[in-house]
This record gives sequence, C-alpha cells and structure tokens, in this order.
Amino acid sequence: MDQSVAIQETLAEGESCTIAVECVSLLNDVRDSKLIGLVRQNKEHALFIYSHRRMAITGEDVTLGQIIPISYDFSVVEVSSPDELAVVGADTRVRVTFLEEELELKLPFGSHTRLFLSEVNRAWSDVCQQYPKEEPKFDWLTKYRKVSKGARSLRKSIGATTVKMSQMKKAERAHTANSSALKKEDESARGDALQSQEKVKGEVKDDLIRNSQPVLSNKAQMLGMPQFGLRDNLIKCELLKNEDAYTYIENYSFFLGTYNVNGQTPKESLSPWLASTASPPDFYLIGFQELDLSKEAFLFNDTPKEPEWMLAVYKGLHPDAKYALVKLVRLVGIMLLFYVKAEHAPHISEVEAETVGTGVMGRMGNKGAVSIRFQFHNSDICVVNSHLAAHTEEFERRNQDFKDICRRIQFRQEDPTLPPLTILKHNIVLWLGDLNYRISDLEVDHVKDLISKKDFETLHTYDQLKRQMDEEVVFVGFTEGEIDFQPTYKYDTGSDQWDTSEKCRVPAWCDRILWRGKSIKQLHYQSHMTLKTSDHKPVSSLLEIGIKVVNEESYKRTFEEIVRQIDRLENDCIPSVSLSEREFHFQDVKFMQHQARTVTVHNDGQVPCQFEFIQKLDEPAYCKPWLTANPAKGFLAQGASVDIDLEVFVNRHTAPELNAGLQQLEDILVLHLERGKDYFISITGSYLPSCFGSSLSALCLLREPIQDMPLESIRELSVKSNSPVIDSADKPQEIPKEIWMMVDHLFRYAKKQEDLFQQPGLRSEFEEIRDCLDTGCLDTLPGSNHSVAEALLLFLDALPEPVIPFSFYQQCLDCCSDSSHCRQIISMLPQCHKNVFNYLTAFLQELLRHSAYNRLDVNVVAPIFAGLLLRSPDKQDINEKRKVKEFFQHFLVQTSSDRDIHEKSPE
Amino acid sequence: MAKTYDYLFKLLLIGDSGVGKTCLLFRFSEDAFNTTFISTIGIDFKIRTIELDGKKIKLQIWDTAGQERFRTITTAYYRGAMGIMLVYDITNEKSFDNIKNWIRNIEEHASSDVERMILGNKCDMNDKRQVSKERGEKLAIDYGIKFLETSAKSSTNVEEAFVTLARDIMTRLNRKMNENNPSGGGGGGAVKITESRSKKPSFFRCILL
Repeated sequence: MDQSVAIQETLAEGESCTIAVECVSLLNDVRDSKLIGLVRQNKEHALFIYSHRRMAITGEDVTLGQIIPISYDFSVVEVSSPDELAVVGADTRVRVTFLEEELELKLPFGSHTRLFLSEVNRAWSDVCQQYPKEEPKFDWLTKYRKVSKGARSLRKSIGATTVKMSQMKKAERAHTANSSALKKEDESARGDALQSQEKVKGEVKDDLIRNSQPVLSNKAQMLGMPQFGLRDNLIKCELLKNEDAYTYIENYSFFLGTYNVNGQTPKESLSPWLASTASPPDFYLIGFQELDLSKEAFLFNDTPKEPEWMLAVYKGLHPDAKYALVKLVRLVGIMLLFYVKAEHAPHISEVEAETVGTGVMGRMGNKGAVSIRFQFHNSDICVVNSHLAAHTEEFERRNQDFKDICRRIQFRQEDPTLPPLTILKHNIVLWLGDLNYRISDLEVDHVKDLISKKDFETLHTYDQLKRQMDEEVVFVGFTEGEIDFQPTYKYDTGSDQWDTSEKCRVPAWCDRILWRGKSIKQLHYQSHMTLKTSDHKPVSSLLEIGIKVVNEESYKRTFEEIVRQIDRLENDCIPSVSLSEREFHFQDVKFMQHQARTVTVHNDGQVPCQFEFIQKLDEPAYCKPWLTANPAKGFLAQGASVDIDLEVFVNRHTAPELNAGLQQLEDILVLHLERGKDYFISITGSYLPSCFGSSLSALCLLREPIQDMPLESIRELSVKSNSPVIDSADKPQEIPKEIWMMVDHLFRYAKKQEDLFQQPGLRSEFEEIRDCLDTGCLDTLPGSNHSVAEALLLFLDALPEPVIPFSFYQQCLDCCSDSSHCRQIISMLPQCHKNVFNYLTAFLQELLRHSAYNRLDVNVVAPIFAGLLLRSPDKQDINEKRKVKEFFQHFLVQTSSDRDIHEKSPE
Repeated sequence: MAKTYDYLFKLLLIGDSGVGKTCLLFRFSEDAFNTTFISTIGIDFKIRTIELDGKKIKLQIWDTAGQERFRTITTAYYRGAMGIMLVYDITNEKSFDNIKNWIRNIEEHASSDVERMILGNKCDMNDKRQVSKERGEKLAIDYGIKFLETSAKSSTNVEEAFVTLARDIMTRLNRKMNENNPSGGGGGGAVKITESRSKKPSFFRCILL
C-alpha cells in the first residue's frame, strides 16, 4: 500500500506528499521505525518524519515527529559500508543532514527507495540552482513546528565511520553527458558555497537521466538523418574526388570573338571574322559592345540593332556546319551570343545568363558585363563579355569594374538550397570584350613607329592590362595569348587609318580575349583589319578546350561503389550494444519479497546511443506490474556501460492472478536504441503460491498448506470456489485455516500486548510468518506479536475480494447509521465471508475486554479494520471513510447474539 | 545529380530461427558471410542502396528474431514493412512447413498491400536437402508469391531476391501513382536542352541553322 496517502491526510490544503518510504531510524543503536514523506508546497519541499503504527492506512495512524526543510544546507549522503554494497538486496543507509543536526536512516532495498532519493535530490538541486538570489522561506511549516516542537531533538551520530558512496549501489561506469552536467552543477554549487563561506556537505547524484538530447558530434552518424542532407553531399564530394575514374578529356574548339561596333549598323559581311578558321568551330561565343549608343537603348534597353547584328552574325558563321543558337543576352549595348554545333546541343545543360552594370553611378548599363554559364558534358563553363571604363588614365577604375563584375554576377543554381554560383567558381572561364586598357607612357609618334615596325613585343610592355596583370591586381589566374596584331583602336570609321581627329588618340589594344582553366590551348589570336564598319577592329581567338566527358559505364560503377561505401558507413553507425545476459530467471519468488538481478548494457558500437525500454504491442507499459527495470532509459557514450537493475516484487495487486494460475511470471523486455536496434530480454520466474492474495473461498477449500498443493489443484479450487455448487465430499472449512492460525496466535499470546495493531512488525519476521502459513512447517507462528498482527492486516489487505465483497460496499455505506440494517447485510454475505467477518469481530470484542492492558478501544480498532474489511473498488473520500468506520463500529459492541456465536466456536 | 535516393523501401525478413535470415542480410548489405551462428534476439536492420530502372532505391532491411517465444513481439514490426521475405531452410523441413504459419501471421498483422517473397535458403547444401525446389515453387504458386532458392554462403540469388522484391514494390507503387494521375506526360522536343527559367525571359529560342 502506498503510505503517502496516510501522510496526505495530515497536510493542509495546497500541500502534497510526493512520495513516502518506510525506514528505520538509527539513533545510538536504538532502532525505530519511521515513515518519511517528501512534502511539497508550491516550489518548496521538506521531509516530514512520522512515527507510525504497523502499516499506515489513515492519517490517524501517523504522528508527525521531525520536519527537515530542504534548503541549501540540506544534504543526503549514502553511508552504506562496502560489505553491504556487495550484497544485492541490502538496505540503503543514508545520513540526512540539516545545519548541525544529523539523522541516520536505513531505507529498504528497492527501486521505491531510489525513486524517493532521486525526488529528494531533485528538490535540493532546484534550491541550489536558485541560490543565492532566491532562498525558500518555509512559512508553511510554521503551523507544524508548533505541534512537533517537543519532538525536535536530533543528536549527532558520534563516531560513525562510514564510506561515502554515490547513491547507486554499483557505481555507474558510464561517462554520460548527464554525469558531466551534474559535475558542472556540482562545481558551480561548490563555487557558490566558497563565495558564501558555507560548506556543502555533499549531494545525492540524480540517477534518473534528465531529458537531454545527445549532441551529435559524429559526422558519419548524421548519415541516417535525412534532414541534414549529409549523405547527398558526401556522395557529391566523393564523385568529385573520383572524377578522373569515370571521365576522360575530349577536345572541342571554341571561337571567341569581340567587336565594339560604335553604334553602327552592319554594312559588310562578318565572314572574314567569324568564318576565318579552316574548319568549323564547335562553339561560337560572340560579344559586342556599343551596339547602340542612343538614349533609347540606354533608357529602355531596347534597340533595333540587336536583330540586325544577330542576323549579320548568323550569316557570317562558318558555312560547313549547322549551328543552334543556345542563348543571347544583352545589357544596353553589351551583347553576347552563344551558338553551338547542333550535334553538341544534347550535352549542354544548366544554361543561365546574367548581367551587371558598372557605368554611371557604378550601376548603369553603358558599361558593365553580360555573362552566360552552362554545363557541357561534365565541365562548367562561364563566358563573360565586358565593356570596362574608358580613357587612358582610368585603368584603376577598370580594375575595380573587373572586381565588381566578378562579385556581382551570380548565377542561380537549380538546387535552391545551394548558394548562387559566381564567375570564378567555374572550371573554365572565358573572358572577352572591350576592356579599354590603353598604352601609356609613350608618345603617339613613338607608338606608331613601333607599330610600323611590327615590334608588338616592345609595344606590349607599355600595355596597361599587361602591367596590371603582372602586378596581379586584375585578372589574376587568367591567361592571354601572345599579341601579334596591331592595336585595335582607334581608327577612322570606314578605313584602316589611325584616328585623324584633333584628339589624335594613341593606338591601343582595347579589345582582348582571356581565359582561365585547365586543358586550354589557343590556336589563333588575331584582329581582322578588313572590317571597317567601326572605329574598333574585331578580335577573335580560337581555343581548343579539353572537356571532361563522362564514360557512362565507369560513372555508374564509380557511383555504385561510392553509394556502397556510404551504405556501409551508415550501417556501421547504427547504434549497437551488447548485453551481459539476455535471459533472467527468478527462482521461488514469494509474496512481498524483492528479488533483483542486474543486466549490464555495454555500448560497443561506434556511436553514442540513447536506450529506452519500450512498450510492446497492446500493452499499457514496457513491463508487467510485478517487474521493474531501473533505469528504464538513459544515454550511453561510446564504450560506456550501465547497470540496469531488474526487480521482481509481487504485491497485493499482482498476487491474486499468480496464485490462481491466471498469470505467470513471464515477460519479455524490449530494449530499444534510438535510431537503432531492439533487443529482447526474457524474464521468467517461478512463483510460490501464497495465502496472501488468495480468495477466502479458495482458501476455505484448501485442507493443506497452499504450497503443499499441486498447482493444478489450486487452479481447480480457484475455479470451483466461484461455483455455488459444492460437492459434499469437498465441504469447505468455515474459515481459512490461515486466518485461524494468526487470530489464534494473537488470542493466546497477544490479548494483553500493549499497543497491539499500533506498532509495526519486522519485515523479516513477516516473511517467516508468510512462509509458515504457506508451507505449514511449524505448529506455532514465529515472530513477535506485532509482526503477527501486521501479517493479519496484510492478509486482509491482500484479499482480491475483501471480507465484505465490493458488491456490498454501497449498501453498507447507505445504512451505516442503522445497526440492525448493518447486521442484516452481514447475514447476506457469502458463507465464508460471513464466517470470517463474525470470527474477526468476535476476536476484536475479546481484545477490547482487555483494553486496560492493550490500550485498545473502539476508536482505535474501528479505523484500522474497517478500511480493510470494507474496501471501496475506487478511491475513498473522507466522507466515505467516516461511513465505513461508523458501519463497522456497530459490530464492536457486544450483543447477546454475538455471545452465542462465540460460545459455539470453541477454537 | 540531385539527391542520392528517390525512394526508401522498408523490407522485413521473417522465418524460423536458424534458417539464415541474418546471413542473407549480411551478404546483401556487406557482401560477407559469417559461419558462426549467433541467434538474433531482437530486431536489427541494415541499409543498402540499389538502382532500379534509373531510380535509386534505399532499402532498409529489418532482421527479426525467429524464435517461437518472440513471435508475438516481432509481429509489431510487420505494419511498417512494404515487403516481407519469408525464409526457410531447405535442409530443415519443419522450417518449410512453418511458412504457412508465417504467412498467416502476415495476413493478420501486415499491411494488406505488402509484397511477399519466399526464399529457400542454404541451397548450397544440396546433399542435406529435405525440401525439393519443386515443393517450394508449388507452395509459392499456391499463395501467389514469388519464389527463389538462395544461398547466403555461396552468394546465390541473394542480390536477385532483394532486387526482385524491390522491383515488385516499385511496380505496385507506380501503379498506384498512375491511378492517382490519369493524365500522361507530354512528349519531348526535337532538340532538348535542360535550361531553368531565367529571370529575364529569353526572346530567342534554339534555332537550327
């Protein structure tokens, strides 16, 4: 029975008893049984220590003794000796300290005790976390201290030599994340303590794992989690690294052309420029600048010259091949056209175009760049046509334009999660245009003299672009071929004559073609003097570019191998543990007696794991009610282990079905690893039937001790006891012999026992009494009178159907004030229930006759037995309890009819 | 290249203890064989990615404990399976007889549209054979299930078994998708260039000269 209910009745409104545990207090070798409750009021906690009679049922059974507030100065330390630790099932000894007072307690073995201590520790941890800014005041304890004033006196435990150990009997070997978290909390608390000059005497480690998510630090562990997309990225990386395994280089010819047409309309064929190669190129990338110089083109980005020049290009392409226009992009006067041989079109993908202006105010389109990017087979290619700032002295501005273009042109990728792609991120970058770099530091006559001598090498040393590239301030990483043609600017329109205007500009190589990337060889780099439409000359470059082509067979093989490797990696990172044992058998399990085994879970996998016992299909909990696994969940670092206690405890809730053979001690625990495997642990036990938890009717049919009977016979009798038809050969006894033995013992030896039914018995003696009743090995019950008395109460409490059956409960309450009506109900009980009731009431009346010695009276006896004999199927409220007591009191007053019954029972 | 798999299929291996379920899984996922028999006590899984008709399928294969005492628990895992392999041992007639019981379990606990396949494992041990191939085939035909004899040890038909089951799941999936989308896809163009839509719509299309 959960004894916190009794404590709850003594508390005021708004206060609750979270958990209670029975224990033995040790004070100068004096052993005294106590009941301790953890009481909470809002966010404050305190330990209430009660004296109690036998097993506490109601608030009247407990007497408040000491109250220990759980404040910063509170501590609980386990003080079991090493010898006791070695014994599984040994009790837990703790020292409770508050200020200068100490109290040593012995708590019974079991998960209930651990649960109690963990709750206490949690309450204390909450106080420490808020220290020193918030400190509990415990105003609500004042009203209790007045009552318990006289009882307050705790003497120090002198000379106690004990080993301070952690709360767990076996130290948890796992270096869990929570352990480190607790250590940090401990250090923090210790630091605070030092600051406040106060001493922390220790803490109880919380053995329940707090809700903390394990931090994933293992990259491979994320493979199994699709939201990270790591798997996809890994495969892409591996494919990139192994590109040489499935690609080969194939050369393709690219014709790059640039022509500043000075706003002119096409007047002549472009074939001398575009079809100047011996064989037709695979690709054409043709760039124009100053296509249209009108205000309309600048303001509205619209010009009739676009289709005019496009047509001219169309007509000028090499006549020996068919070409497809892939893309055209224009910004005011800057235009780029992309043609490809028709046979190559299927291998082009991911075509994108972008523009950026660097002109007026750094943004307008009179200067700037247009760009096309595409993927051809397995190579990424980007082509830029740019028109940079004009005028000789503005070379630094041109450098800046270049940087702006590189930074601001960003291509959207097909995968929206990927960032935009910039120019320099491509395998191959082809850059052409009117870059406007001039020849400086030379007089015009000197320049023209060098040109007439065709000394382009000397002249090139004065070229601004060459100088800036040599200084690595612009076009870093780019290559330009050797220039062996004369400057392309400035000419008189319609002629080959140098500019004859009054400005008389210095000739310059404004029009350039550069590239960046591997496997690129330039076959031609030339200007085309025969075209006279503009004040610039067109320039062309024929490049032979090695393109990475995919071998489909090799690619598939490489891809499959990569996927296979990643699959294996993912499989290796599935959480995995090993168990010390997988089958546990609990031999000779007895009523109200703990048995425990330990399973060690070792994380031998490659990743940390979270484990938890999970429910099986169609079951309300992860295990049967008679079984407990503790801890039922936790976290294991790689290589760490944890001991899980498996505990079997049969109580009054589970005993009836086990006694009747309707249930077996059989269960399978499913230990689940988060994102991992499930492990099955088989639990079996042999249960020794007990009269405790057996029905009165079945016990009346048993002529031998229950454990002397074959299990089949017990089951038959359980079935038969439900049948009203009784064979004459199996006439039941009037009352169970077990009740007779206990009552007879008390009648013979305990009638004058002081405080009978008001003192707790010993657990070990109860176990002996239980064994005696179940096996019949002794003629006399062992143990003290108080132990036998408590055994009787436990027996009545464990009846699956109480002495007054559940079906009579409401009737009894309805007529509790009418004595004759109460007796009438009793007369209608089933025979054995009626017999037991009358037998017990006669016994109690006999006890009351010796009240001078045993100090029992009606007000003491009635609450004890009423709650056991007349039980509610549901929870009882205070009003119901009062009625139950009133009902029963009628039968404690002796009447003439009772005397007759007593005389007829010579036993 | 986009994502690394297009579909995730969950497969389940069931059958009596000792017929070779774990060995089949190990052969398929790790291409290895372990002669030591360690009974699976629980649920284990491994993954493997395969390609099927141009689609990449990630298989998540669950291996179950075959012992009688765990049967009730393992049925809880049937619901999530898209394909189930029923495995028996050709050298153990009892494991073959129990296939009927396993099929009954599937009908009771698995999805109604789960794909099934019967495997007669250990076909490399022909000298100890107790179940003929014809009997295996007949049982499969009776239930309308595909059948293969395999050997995890000699790597016979293991790949075929998993690929076949995956293909059947894919076929069923495609049938469902077609029912949901009655209209068919359009035809392709003459010259197709994969091109995303640009912010500025292109005035010119691909023109053949």
